[in-house]
Amino acid sequence: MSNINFCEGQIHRGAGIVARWPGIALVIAKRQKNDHEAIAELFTTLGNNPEPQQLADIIEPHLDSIISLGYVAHTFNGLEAYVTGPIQIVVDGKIAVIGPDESVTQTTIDYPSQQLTIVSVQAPNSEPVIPYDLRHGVAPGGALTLTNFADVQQFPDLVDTAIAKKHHAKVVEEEMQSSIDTVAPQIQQSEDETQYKSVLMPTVNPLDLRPLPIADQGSNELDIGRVEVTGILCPRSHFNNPKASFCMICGVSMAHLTHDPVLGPRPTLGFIIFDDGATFGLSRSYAIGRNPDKPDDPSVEVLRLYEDNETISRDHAWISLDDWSVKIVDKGSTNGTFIWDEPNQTWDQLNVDEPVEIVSGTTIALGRRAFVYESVEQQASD
Amino acid sequence: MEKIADYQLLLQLGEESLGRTYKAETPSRLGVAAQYLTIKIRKRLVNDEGFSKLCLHLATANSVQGPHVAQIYDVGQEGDYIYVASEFFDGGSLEKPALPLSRVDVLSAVSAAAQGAHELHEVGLTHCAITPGNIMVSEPAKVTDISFLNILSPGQILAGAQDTTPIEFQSPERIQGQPTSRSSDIWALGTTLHKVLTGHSIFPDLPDETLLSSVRHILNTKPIMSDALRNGERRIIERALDPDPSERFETAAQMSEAIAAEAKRQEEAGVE
Repeated sequence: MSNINFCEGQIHRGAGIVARWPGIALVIAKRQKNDHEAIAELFTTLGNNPEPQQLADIIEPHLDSIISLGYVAHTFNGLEAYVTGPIQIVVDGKIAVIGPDESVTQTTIDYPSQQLTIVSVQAPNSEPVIPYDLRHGVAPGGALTLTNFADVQQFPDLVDTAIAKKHHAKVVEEEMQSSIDTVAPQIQQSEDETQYKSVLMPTVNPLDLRPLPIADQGSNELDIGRVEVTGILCPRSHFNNPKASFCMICGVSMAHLTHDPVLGPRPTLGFIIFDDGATFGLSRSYAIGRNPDKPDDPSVEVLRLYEDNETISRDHAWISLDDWSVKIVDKGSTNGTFIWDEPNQTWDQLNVDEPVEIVSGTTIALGRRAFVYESVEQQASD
Repeated sequence: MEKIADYQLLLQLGEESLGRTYKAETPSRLGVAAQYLTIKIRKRLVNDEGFSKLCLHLATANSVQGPHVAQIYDVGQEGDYIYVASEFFDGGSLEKPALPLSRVDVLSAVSAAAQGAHELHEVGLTHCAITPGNIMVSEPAKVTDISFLNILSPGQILAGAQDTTPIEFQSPERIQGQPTSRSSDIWALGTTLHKVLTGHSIFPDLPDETLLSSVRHILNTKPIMSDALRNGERRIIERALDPDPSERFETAAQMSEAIAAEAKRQEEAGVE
């Protein structure tokens, strides 16, 4: 399958804005007066590497102020075309999608073999400004033409792989959610009248999962809540905390670098180790308790904690990731949440719903359970 | 414990912090010809949704196209305990083989286990718990005991201080909380191969006072290769343990082929 990433992006003159990111080409062709703030807000939300699969969801809340927008995005379902307002998408000389005013058209179109143009209906024949080639970024312009697709076959399908990696975990989650109703345990009774549940494996339809992505970063983990944060890149392009002295991946010094901020998915900040050795990675926030409700926020996972004496409340505390920091919040627990104050050798109780930032090595007590927070950053710089 | 559900427990095979593994007689309701099976029992409070997720996960593991993953027959729950009944192996595991194994036998078994890991990866799963104790000696050898820790507790890396998967078999990036991947299983296969060939851990100075000190040690120490390794074995293990996951074998199938080729070389050279 071809993709739209290794072709040239030629910009047409015009009063709009054109943009390209991996797997995405986007044009805002017709501007309104005083729409600067709305457009700035949209591009801030889109960030440096928006997700092709989620583009429509990101854009739609902004459409009140943006009247003419079109994009193509390389998704699992093929090349998705999206237009709103008087804009058209022309593939190899034929109009593939043409946008009516004040509504949205979203459909899948054929991949171009020669050329694809996203352009205003009112100026369909404008010529691109040559030789500028927009590969990744945002620029002023009225339309965008993707061309020179002949070169695509020379490149490995890198973006397909990147998309596959990012979405594998989400597919697992969706497959599981849609299949859960299909598992119906048999309630059995043994000779001594004890009841038990049993599911014979041959009776269960397996999840229809894709093979794991090749190389690193693929996951079968339910890792769908990664949040994007602003960071800096080390000389080897590893994404780091802007305050890091050393790269958390390769350990190289971050001093003497020009720290240009970039947006990226927040890496794992560290881990917490409980008193029984149970260890959890901090790539997400956790709602901790005896049986906490599943939070609406997909970046927060439930962490059930067992304790025979029931000193853990149902919703006891949250470990909350905020930008690059880790915070602990007591959620109104009966027996309290405490931080060990090493210099004074005392346990300090947290106030309810008041987040407190913790540093690597901090010990936290919840009822009669305790854990230690360890930062990955400190490991690398030690 | 003498029984769970309708399983008569005959012999304890192992014990971990969260439960035990037994040899049990096969109940007729399973429709399985084998007289015995392995049953893993864990004390774990799981709600209906968690139990369904566990069943789907293990049913998917059961669906692999290939003979290198142990079959799972039945998953159940009684009170605070969940159980997983799976294939039983007379030959024991690479950790405790029923009979002495030659070096070529050991290489062939790990090669088969790598193929089993690949079969899981091809249906979208990672094993997450490859150790000498989870590679069962049979013809061919099979991986068993696929981890479901992360299914029941997303984000959890280690179950406990006496985890079924000792920390030395967990890749550094996994310990740091990165998602599991083909390469994290490949790391585990590398550490397993080193352990079964030399009898030593790649972290010989791993402190055992606390889990935290072990974690710190692994994240700040490079693996140490034993001098007892042959050159071909060393090359395979070094590649599997590359700190950069993208520099390891791309797939476990590639690693399996490399180990099988080394086994063939040693067999032709008459290595005992």
